[in-house]
Amino acid sequence: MHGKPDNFPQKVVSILKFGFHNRDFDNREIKKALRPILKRLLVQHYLIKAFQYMAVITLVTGLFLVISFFYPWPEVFRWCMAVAGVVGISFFIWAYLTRPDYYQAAIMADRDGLKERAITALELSGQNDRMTVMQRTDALMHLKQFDARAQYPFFVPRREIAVCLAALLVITLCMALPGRTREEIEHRAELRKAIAQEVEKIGQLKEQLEEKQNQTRLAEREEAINILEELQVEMQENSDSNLKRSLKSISRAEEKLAALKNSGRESSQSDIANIIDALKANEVTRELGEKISAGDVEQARDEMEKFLENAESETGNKKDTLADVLEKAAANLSDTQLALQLNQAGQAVRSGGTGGSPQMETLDRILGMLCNQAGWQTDYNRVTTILQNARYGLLAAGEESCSTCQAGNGINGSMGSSGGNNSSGAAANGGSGNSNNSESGSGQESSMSGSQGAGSGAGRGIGSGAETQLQQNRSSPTSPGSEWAGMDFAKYEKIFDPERIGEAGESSFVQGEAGEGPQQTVTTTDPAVMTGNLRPYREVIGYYSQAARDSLNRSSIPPEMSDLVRDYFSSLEE
Amino acid sequence: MEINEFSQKACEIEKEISKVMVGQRQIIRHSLICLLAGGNVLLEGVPGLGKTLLVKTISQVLSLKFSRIQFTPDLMPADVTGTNIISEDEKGRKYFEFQAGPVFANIILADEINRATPKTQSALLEAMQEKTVTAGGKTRLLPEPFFVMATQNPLEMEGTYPLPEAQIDRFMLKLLVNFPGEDELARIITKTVTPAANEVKAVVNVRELTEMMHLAGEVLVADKVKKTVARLILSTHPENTYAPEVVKKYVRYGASPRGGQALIAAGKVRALMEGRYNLALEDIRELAAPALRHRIFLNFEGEAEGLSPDGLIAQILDILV
Repeated sequence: MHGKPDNFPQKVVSILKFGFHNRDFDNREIKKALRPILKRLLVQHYLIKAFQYMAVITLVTGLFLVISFFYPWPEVFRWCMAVAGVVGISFFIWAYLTRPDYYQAAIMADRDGLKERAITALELSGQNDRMTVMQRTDALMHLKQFDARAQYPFFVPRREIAVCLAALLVITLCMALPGRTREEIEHRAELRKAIAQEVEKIGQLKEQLEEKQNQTRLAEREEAINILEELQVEMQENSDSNLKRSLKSISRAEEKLAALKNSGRESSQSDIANIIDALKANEVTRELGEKISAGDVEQARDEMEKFLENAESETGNKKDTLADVLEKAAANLSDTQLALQLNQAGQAVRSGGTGGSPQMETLDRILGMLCNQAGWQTDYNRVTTILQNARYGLLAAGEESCSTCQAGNGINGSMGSSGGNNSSGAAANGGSGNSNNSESGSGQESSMSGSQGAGSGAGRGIGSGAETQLQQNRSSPTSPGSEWAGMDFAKYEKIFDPERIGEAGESSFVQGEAGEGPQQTVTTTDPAVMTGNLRPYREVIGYYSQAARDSLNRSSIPPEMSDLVRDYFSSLEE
Repeated sequence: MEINEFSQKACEIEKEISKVMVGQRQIIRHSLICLLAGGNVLLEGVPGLGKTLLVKTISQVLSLKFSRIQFTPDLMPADVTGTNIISEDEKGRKYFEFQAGPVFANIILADEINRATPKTQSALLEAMQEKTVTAGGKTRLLPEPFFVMATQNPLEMEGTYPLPEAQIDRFMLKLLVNFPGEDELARIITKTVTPAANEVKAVVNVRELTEMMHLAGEVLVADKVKKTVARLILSTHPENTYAPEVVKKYVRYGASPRGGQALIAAGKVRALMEGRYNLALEDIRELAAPALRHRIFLNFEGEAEGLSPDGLIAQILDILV
């Protein structure tokens, strides 16, 4: 009759074939008679399971949305889909395994009027004695008269419907009510988008640098490419769109770049920058200086030859001027070897040296060095600009998507970053400056630091960012908030902010002496510290953060403390 | 015999008994079911409800030899089963001769069975269960078919000997004969005070009765029904996991396996009477109380609460069937 084996594998097979309760029966007649009932039961069974599935899914979705209403959960819909899939498969398997069979159909029929005729006939379907045959005939007769359609009209399970409706109501409320977490989710989505954009920009820059590197090999550029690549990977791996982590990555890259720039050749770079500046400062040699500062060696050489030819054909003053500039620049160099070579080159120019002469070869070599340095400087500035842009882009994304920033006042203007050339020893206008005037333009153009101090004194000019155009002014009248605007500043009232040394846009001058002279401290005309006043926290936090970054970049902060400082300011930026 | 013939005969028997018995249709039906299932019936009711008349009428309708034993405290077992007496043959030689008691009949009416001493009551045990009588070291078969229909009065308990569990378990069904209603009582009075007596005729003979009993034994029972009966019996036991809370609380002893056997056997007869070849849960539901009520013993709390076994059985049936 049933013939169910007891051993495990066959039992599993039988369960898969017939379900948990399903059994097979021998008699076809009785099965055929029960089939209409079974069909109705099966349809109803799957219908109920479908509604149960819907109830479970809507409940789970509702639950997830309620959770996401109170706690940020960006992937809530993805989770809902995943749960729906898993539960759906589980329900299907469950529904299949627990589907009604002939036995249950017989029980149902008996319960509804057949008085155990069907189940008896089914159970004894393997026997053929007189009584059993008569009983089966009796059962078949009654089954034929049994109207399954009338007995088992399809119905919709009310409980499941009620659960579905309740859950849908919860879902609708969660979707309709304004929630802080939804803004947070949108904020993260925008952050993710912003990070992707910045990663793409960094990638583009990297490709450009690689192209350039293929043309002219430069170790610093190669290192910068590696830094960018590393940054790109770090930002791509930041899957949860963590602003803090991204900003840290950018800060780290900036520090590496700064370290790269300053690595062991600070004075040399300063010397080269001085030479270029000296060339640009003179009207006669300005064009040559600009070509050199453009970083293209070939163009610079052409310009030099053209300059020398013109000087040859027109007047000797030009040569002298060039020689004077070179000699004067040589006088200010810290590298004595370079100064000597430059002096020789100046003399060669003055004496009208011909191409191929050792002096002119020295000039050519210096020219190449200057061009490479200028090219690297341009690349460096571009990279730092892109990183700055990335930082502000991410912060702006965080700001724009955060509802709380609408209420804030934000910082008027943003931090002006250092031009990067405020190297020690050279009195520079381009020191760490903080510009509070948001009207100062986009400041995308990068250049080397503006004025230079004479000599290699230890004076460090701290001035405004008027000449350092690597500043990003992101604030706008329509979006008063800044990267700090998303913070909860309510708990911070006003803090004391001493006025900075010098006013915005003003310069501080430090006199320097050529050579390895002693340090000289000169009192500036501007008061170092003026009486402070109380300013809102948010107006100064950017100020301090930028100062911290600059300090990190300049390695002013001991290495063992740099992480602490970075983390502290990063946490404030969160 | 076919099922139609069975149900027709059963219907005729009921109809014929109803000519004499006013009302008490369920008592008549259940008594007939019990007899056809080969069981013994315990009728409980106050005097004057027609218990003796019922038994007498059944014997007439079924063409069976009827014997009545009025149980009294001084009734001896030999008065029931019979005894060996000394007889003398033609030559004057003496010998023991078995004088059969009233138990040697097809239908025995053991009237007010609880008035006899347990010793006398137990004389019926062998007859009821084995359908034999042992006297003087010799076992004698009782005539087939053999039924015992005992009565007991629930009111006069003084000077009675309640049937022990072992004996009461031998009764397939215990039927409670209720007091008739107004109309029925009026009809009873009318019938009994007028000279016109209702004559009943024999509907079936012994052979037909035996065939009917045999056919009843062939009725099919599905596993599901058997399991339901088994679970029903187990549910009456307070220590069993199937037992509902009310059973655990108020029952001292549950039904014996004989209860399940009685239920199935009686249910089979009912199924045939209903025109079915198979036992149905409906049969179980109807016969559960008569088959189990005398097999369930309430504890002190149950009796103090005024519960009846019928109420417990109904609760169990609501859960199971």
